Amino acid sequence: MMRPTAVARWSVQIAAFGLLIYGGFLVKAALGRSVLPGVSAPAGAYSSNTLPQQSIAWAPGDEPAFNFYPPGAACRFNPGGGLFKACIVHMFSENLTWRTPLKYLSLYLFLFVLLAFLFGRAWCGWICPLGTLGDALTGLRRLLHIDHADFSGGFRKALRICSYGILAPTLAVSAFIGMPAFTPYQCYLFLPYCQVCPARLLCPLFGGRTSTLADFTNGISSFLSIASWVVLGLFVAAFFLGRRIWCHLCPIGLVNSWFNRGSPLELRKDQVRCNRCAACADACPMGLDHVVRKKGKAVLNEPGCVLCLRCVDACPRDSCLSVTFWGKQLIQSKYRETHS
Amino acid sequence: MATKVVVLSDGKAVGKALVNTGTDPRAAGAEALSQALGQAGLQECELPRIVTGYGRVVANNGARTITEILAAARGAHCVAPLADGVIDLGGQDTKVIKLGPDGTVADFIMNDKCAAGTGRFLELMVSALGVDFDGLGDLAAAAAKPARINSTCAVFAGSEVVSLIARSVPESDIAAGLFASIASRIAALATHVGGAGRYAFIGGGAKSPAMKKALESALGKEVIVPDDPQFVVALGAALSAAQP
Amino acid sequence: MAAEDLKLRERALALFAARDGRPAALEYFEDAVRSEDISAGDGPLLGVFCNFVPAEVVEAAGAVPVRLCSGSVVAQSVGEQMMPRDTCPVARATFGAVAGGFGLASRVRAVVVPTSCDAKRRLAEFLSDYVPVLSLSIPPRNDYRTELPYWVSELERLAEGLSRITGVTPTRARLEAAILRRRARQDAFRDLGRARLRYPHVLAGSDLALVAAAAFAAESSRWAEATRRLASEVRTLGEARPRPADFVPLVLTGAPLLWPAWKLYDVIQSAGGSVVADTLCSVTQGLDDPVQVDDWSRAGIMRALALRYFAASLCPCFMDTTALTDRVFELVHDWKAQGVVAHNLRLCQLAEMQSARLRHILRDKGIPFLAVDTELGTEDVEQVRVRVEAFMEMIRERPCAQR
Repeated sequence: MMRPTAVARWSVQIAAFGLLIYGGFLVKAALGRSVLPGVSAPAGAYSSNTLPQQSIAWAPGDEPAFNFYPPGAACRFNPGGGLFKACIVHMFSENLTWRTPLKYLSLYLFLFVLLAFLFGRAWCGWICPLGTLGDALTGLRRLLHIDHADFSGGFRKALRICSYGILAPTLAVSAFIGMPAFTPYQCYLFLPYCQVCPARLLCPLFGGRTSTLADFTNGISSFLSIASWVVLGLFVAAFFLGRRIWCHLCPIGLVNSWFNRGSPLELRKDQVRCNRCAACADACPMGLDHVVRKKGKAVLNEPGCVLCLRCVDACPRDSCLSVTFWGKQLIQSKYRETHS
Repeated sequence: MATKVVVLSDGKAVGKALVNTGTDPRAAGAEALSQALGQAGLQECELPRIVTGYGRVVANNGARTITEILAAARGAHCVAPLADGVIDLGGQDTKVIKLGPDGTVADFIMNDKCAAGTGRFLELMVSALGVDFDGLGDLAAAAAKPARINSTCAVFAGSEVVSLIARSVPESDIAAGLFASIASRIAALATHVGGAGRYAFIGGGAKSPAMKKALESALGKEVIVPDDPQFVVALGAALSAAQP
Repeated sequence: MAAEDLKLRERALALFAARDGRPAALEYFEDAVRSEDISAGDGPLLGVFCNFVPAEVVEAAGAVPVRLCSGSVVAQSVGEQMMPRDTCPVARATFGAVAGGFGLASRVRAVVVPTSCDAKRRLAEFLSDYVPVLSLSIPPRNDYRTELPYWVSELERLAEGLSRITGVTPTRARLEAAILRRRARQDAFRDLGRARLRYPHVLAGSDLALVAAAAFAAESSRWAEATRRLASEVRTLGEARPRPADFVPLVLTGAPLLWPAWKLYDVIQSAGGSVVADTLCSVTQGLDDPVQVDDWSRAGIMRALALRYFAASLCPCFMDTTALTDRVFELVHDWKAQGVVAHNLRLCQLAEMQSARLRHILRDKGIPFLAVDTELGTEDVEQVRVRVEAFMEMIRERPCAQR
């Protein structure tokens, strides 16, 4: 009795999860190598390939299959080096540290922007593997008939500000960490956000790798290990009890959110058909209520919306909400009969 | 209450009759019809007819019926083509009609539940002032300053008139105040259907010049009273009978 | 008195049954309204009013909800022995039905009165002399952002109060079961709605009102089955029968037309109009909106119930009636209606004020509008008739392009 969009989204999420986590491994197993030449570090520059294994657990020779940074948060820690290079925050971090010339980066930047423009933050709702894992936790909670936690609009705004507070220092640290003065700290602060991102602990587990789980060789690495466990704990708690509240904090989601407004993938509302029942607001895992609240606007793209389409499914009024791509309608809200 | 008949020939009224309805609308209708036909010099069986008004349900004898709103609109548009609003002040009820282009009914509103704003209101008042209907109009014409009648209910307005007389307010001022009171009720009705630029004023109440003056003052618009205002609704029904 | 009340209802049924080509499936609904055989085997009957009391909570508490809003002039005259004359006709009639013991009103164990308007609030106290009364507080703002926690707390209070009467606790599982069972009604009603949208000329407005009246007096799943049968008969008849050229579809809004006071349906239909859609709490609003549950935890279920029964309500007792005017536009558009009729029950300030507002809003949009001020009795039927007939004449004279 699952709703059609739910079936579609779970299918895409599971397929994307498999592809992103194991894709690189499968491509290399098939072809024996990466497909595209990578952007490598300039000669003599600091590179993650020379790092101690414990801190970032990047096995020598592990390269992603495609040198490309999609918005879907493919992680550099995926088994086999991953299908794609990594997520967009990784891209900024790594290339800021390496001072990579723009002409090498421009193609990948362009591809990222193109995809993000086309699909906005739908990547978060349909592709991101952390989101998929999180949605599975939500599914467990629902099975147990436990109610989800509610967060105020103020709390969500605060999280978004914290998100900027994660992204900005990440970029700043990345910009400076390559300089000679910071050499002793480089192995610990290279890719600063990746050091604490839950993906660093979770993704290698799918390849049977546990080496990223803890590193107590010295003070900084211990601190970072503990910090990453705290973040993982928050991640699990947030997703188990709070639906997608974590996504308000995630810096990759933040970058994707800049592309929602103006994207040709639009969530539209026929205001006259709305009966203000707020079923859409009740269903939204990001806790947004703009769908019921906004008046006089046909297009409802919000930065926080991950386009999971639960609102469209929840709406009981025919043709009230719809999703269009370049003006062509993909789905619309419809009263759906249930079978008791 | 009165039953009116209009007989048309080649679009012109050649016979008119008005008979008190009494308790038998059918008999009153038959009487008025034969009088009007007599005037016109015509035989009954030749003519298509339409019956309108409250009696249309019981006294139609199988003839077609239309509501008196449609009839009022058609009749008014015929005798006052420049008007885009119609006010029908009858003994029992009051109607305000907003006309569209070509004299069609664009919107309408009726007051047939409350005496305030109808001819009945005046009937109740004439006894308080000891004059007849025409005398009331003459009194009002001589008014220096119309008295304010505050009560919306005809029954309470009667008491208010008595107390005004007791306070030595001139009777002419009271009379003018009564007409002003009706006119303001009608003007309030008129706002519900959207203001017109020019009103045709029909029905029994339109025979009073004092009422016309009070209406013009309350509406702030021109008010046209056609000849024989009491027959305009019957004329409208006759015009409709002429169409298939 | 009870016999007179029954005669009144029989006359009303006979009046509307005498129509050519009426779907045979309507017989079930006539019987349901006549016999009021809502089965008490599932638990004690609980009287409810308006569309604010969640039937699912009542059922989960082991009771059977029956709507007691009465339109009987016989009951009204009984009510007037205690209540003043110039009060809401529905309050007088409902009180009279309970005090006089007419029909379902004589079989209820208790009643739940929502505090939606002044009349209901005062009615509750009058009723308390005859039956135990539970109240459901309805805040005047139906903005879910500020009111949702309060709505949920009121529903929890209601659940607790009901369980003390019935001895059955509305658990999460019982609520879930009740929601799924009741959902069959909305499914059936929407199915009928789809059939009617395709073939609006088959079922009269009074027929649809009969279906709705039966919904509140008949057992839930039998009613849902009968509604499905009716929907398929509407489709069959609709295909065989073309729409008449002089079909005038109208939207009906305003105060409820409570069984058996259906004079307005009779007058409209005799004048050649057809009520194809409505915003009435007595018909569509009681049956159309589903309970949309996002989270099947108990708190999630209570939220969903609160949203459907409070937030989605179109009642003019709330401060903001934009949703109601929007619904009128939506219905006029979807059903290609040629006019809107507002039913104003005399002394209902909410309906009359809303109607005055609607008149100006619709006039600006060029949609013909008629407000009919009336009461439960038939004394003013000719006054209603002249207005409705003039309205129909007005619509028929409009150039086709405008309609």
